[in-house]
Amino acid sequence: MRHDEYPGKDMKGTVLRMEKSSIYDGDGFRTVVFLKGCPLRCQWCSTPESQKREIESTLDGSITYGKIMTVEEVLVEVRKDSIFYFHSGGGMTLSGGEIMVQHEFALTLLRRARFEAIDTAIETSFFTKWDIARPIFETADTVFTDLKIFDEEKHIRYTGVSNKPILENIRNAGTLGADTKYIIRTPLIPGVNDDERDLEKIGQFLSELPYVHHIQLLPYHRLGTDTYRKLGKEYQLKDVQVPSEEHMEWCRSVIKRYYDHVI
Amino acid sequence: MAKEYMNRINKLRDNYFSHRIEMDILDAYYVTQGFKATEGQPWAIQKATAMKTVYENKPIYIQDNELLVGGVAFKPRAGILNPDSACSVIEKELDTISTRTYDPFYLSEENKKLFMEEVAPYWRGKCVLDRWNAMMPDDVRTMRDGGMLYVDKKFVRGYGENTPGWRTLLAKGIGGIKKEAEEKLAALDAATGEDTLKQMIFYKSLIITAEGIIALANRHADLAEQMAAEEKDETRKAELLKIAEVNRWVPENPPRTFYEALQCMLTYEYCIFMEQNASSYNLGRMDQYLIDYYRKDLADGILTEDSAQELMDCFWIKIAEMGLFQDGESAAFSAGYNMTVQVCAGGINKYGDDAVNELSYMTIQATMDTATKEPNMTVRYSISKNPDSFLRKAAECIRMGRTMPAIYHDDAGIKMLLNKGIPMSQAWDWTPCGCVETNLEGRLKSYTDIGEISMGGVVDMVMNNGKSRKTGEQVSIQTGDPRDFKTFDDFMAAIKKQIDYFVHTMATMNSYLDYLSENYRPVPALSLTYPNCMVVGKDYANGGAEFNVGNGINIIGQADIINSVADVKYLVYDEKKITMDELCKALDANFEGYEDIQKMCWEAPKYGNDDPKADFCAGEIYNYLVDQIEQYDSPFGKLTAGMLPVSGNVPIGKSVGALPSGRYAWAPLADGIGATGGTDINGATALLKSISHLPHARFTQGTQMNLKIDPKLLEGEQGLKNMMIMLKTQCSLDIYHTQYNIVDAKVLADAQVHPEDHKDLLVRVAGYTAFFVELGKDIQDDIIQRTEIEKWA
Repeated sequence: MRHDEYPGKDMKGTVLRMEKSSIYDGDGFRTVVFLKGCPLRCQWCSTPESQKREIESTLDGSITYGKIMTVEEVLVEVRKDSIFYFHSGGGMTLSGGEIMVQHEFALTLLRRARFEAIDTAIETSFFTKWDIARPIFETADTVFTDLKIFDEEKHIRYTGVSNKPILENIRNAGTLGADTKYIIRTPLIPGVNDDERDLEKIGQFLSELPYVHHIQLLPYHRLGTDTYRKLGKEYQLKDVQVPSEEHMEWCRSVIKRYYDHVI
Repeated sequence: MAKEYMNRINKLRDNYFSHRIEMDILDAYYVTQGFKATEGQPWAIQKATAMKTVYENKPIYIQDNELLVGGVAFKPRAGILNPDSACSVIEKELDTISTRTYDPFYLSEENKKLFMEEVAPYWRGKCVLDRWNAMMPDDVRTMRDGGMLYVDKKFVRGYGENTPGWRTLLAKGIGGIKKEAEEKLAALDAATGEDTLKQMIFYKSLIITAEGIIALANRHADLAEQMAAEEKDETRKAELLKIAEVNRWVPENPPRTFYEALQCMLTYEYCIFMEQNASSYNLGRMDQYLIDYYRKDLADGILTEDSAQELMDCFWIKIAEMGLFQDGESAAFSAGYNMTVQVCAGGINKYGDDAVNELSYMTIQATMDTATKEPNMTVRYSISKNPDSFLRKAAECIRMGRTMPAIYHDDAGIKMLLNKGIPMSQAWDWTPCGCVETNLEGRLKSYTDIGEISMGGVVDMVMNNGKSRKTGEQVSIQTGDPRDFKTFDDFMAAIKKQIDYFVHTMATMNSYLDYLSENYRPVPALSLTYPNCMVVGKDYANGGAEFNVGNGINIIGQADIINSVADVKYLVYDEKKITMDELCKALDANFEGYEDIQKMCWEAPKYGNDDPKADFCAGEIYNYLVDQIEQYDSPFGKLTAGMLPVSGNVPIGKSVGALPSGRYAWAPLADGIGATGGTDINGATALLKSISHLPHARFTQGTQMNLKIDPKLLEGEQGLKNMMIMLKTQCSLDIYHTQYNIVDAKVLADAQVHPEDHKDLLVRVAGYTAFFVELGKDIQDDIIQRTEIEKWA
């Protein structure tokens, strides 16, 4: 095979957009590839344009979300910043939407990036079958997984799906023994998942998972509400306020009763 | 908490800002007196005598709180005139100089009178600028008047753009050098021929100049003693006596201490500046020249780290007190009274090892402490040798909004020197010069920037078949109607033909410049510290330095030509979205009525986004350009090139019509080697990737890159770390130079409305820093419109 041939090179996926030199989604300067499509409908979602698998437009037709790209086309863009990855410890991050929706595309991207020694990270809700999640998990150097709400009924109410497969996959991850850096993220939504009981349960759960590197609490924000309007969708958390730094600190302290590594 | 020495520094700084910028005529008066007194003597003897007359008679002063003393004019922040270079500029601007748009200088009625009666009459038709105007060939004049080239600046002011032999000065003192000249002179016999006579004239010029320099230092010593006698405050009295002692000793003798070494450098710096009123008498690698004095004084217990820093800071302010007078037109090209006197820290030593030492950090600290526009603090960053703590110190200073240090990728600088024909062992000692040029302490002669080629102009001439859109005149060669270019290759061939003609015209001008400089611009004061001048008995101006390099041609408007060529290829030849005829009509109309075409031009691929559809031509155009420049020889070697547009992108744009890039007629060209403001939308990494396509090391007079970054991006430890990553990546991409404006856009906008509140707001204009409120409004606007990087992406 020629040096620039590889299986799946021409496989097509739907990419929402790509962002260069992000410093928030893994180590160093990263190129983040946002894949389109997500099975969850989190009420606080800040990128409603990422939810549908298909390409879509705003009501007025002025903006189109999504673009069909091959694996190689994505990597052509990703490679451009390889010298910045070298100096910063950065690389490629796959995000969504939910990358498991396009799991074959995601896996092919990850495998080729890894072959080229580009550091890989993924952001996923883990809402998928373990058989699908497992190879992707094994091909990422860093994994960010959301643990949004511990209580199943509440999870269904606010995201539209059960969290059973999510928790199961998080537990399964520990059986692999890979040297993947594994980070849990919880978006902190006031009035939704920030009471003492919610947080204590998360802390207890984590205390049994030694392979988790740390948990990050992400404060709720309202960016993206404009996109709802443009897409003709309704934003349901109109009355929720952005949490104060004091409140964030208190939330961290509650989790810390059971689990130390909270950022 | 601020250190105690900062009390003095803050007072000196306040004093500095209290000075009005004025025009000095007395230096010019004494120069003229010196020439009159030696009528009939060789020009070099007349010039040497003229300078001696200045040094012996110019008004001197010592200000409160000063530890280091001297000055070039009758007061700090005053401009001086070299009448032998450009007397006529003042005559032309007599009534406007105090109020002109760029760099006004206050000229009193009394000085106007002195100038018109005692200076101007002697120099009419005689100064270098008048000779140039008399001799200028038609093709050069036509291109100049059409605004395609800027050719006058080096006739207005002479040799700067050098790094004097500081090591020689410190090792021998002016007295020691003078003694060598006397011995050389004594050994010569004029009977052996004209060449010997020329050497004798040269050595005599050195001796006369050296006597003047020593006399000036002794005048300061006398003044300090006199002031000490009258001083009531015991502390200040002691300081004044120390000043007297130091100035009595240096620069005549080799300095014994760190204090004396600084005063020695300062006095000489002022003297060589007075000789030519030129920019960029670089201070070079002060951390290397002075480290032994520093360590010895510390060991001897006569200096502390703080007192050394205090002296260093005093030196910085004394350098900032110099201000460059230029004619109004030149000032537009490099506005901000800039001297571009570089101090460079870091790099590698003569064994190729890490050269960073205590003073490397202290020179950067001096820029942090004093926060003025000069000296032009820079860093030679060797990614393989210099420690991260040094890079961090530089990044911290940049983050403070000091606009300095500029960061040079050391290996690229070394390659430029090699490309200038300097052996590797000496190239390791290179110093940045002026804006971003390259130099070598005490060994290398060249004008680094003799004038400007407008790359926007090149495109304009292709699209309009050599006619100026401003005047309608035929100013350049005809390369044919663009509608007849069947292929993109035809179009590119026309671009290259225009480049040939632009370069040819500059080379013509350069021959006149070399001729006039060799005959009417001896620089004995400067030549004193070029050891090879002493060996061969020849002035710097005549090629006495060890290495002579052909003069540098400066290229403006990189993004304009790259975008225009890329857009023509994309819109006309590849995608066929418009025809050449439609494009020509749109340009003829300055896009009026053709807004749809302009929109297409704007949306076509743009340089600065790491997009091969735009960047593909950068390498081809710029390697071709430098190939052409290097074809022209001179008595000092092949001509050289640089991309250091100073602020010239604004005035030179005023002659360039609408371009295929979508740029409106008469708008500024792009600054430095960066993207056109607002067109680089993919963040810092993509921008750096694009500029890495230029053949940096072949542009041996440097390539200058401005970056404007939102201060928020550099907040915290992570911000600093990210800055360091960017600087390291610059080196890996083989990008020669970057410099940073870390300033909130709102602050700049406010400073335009309330200049009085922002007197000390620093901005990086090009390869130099200026006080924002001292710039003309269009240059302020140009800085404001540059893309501000708000996220690393």
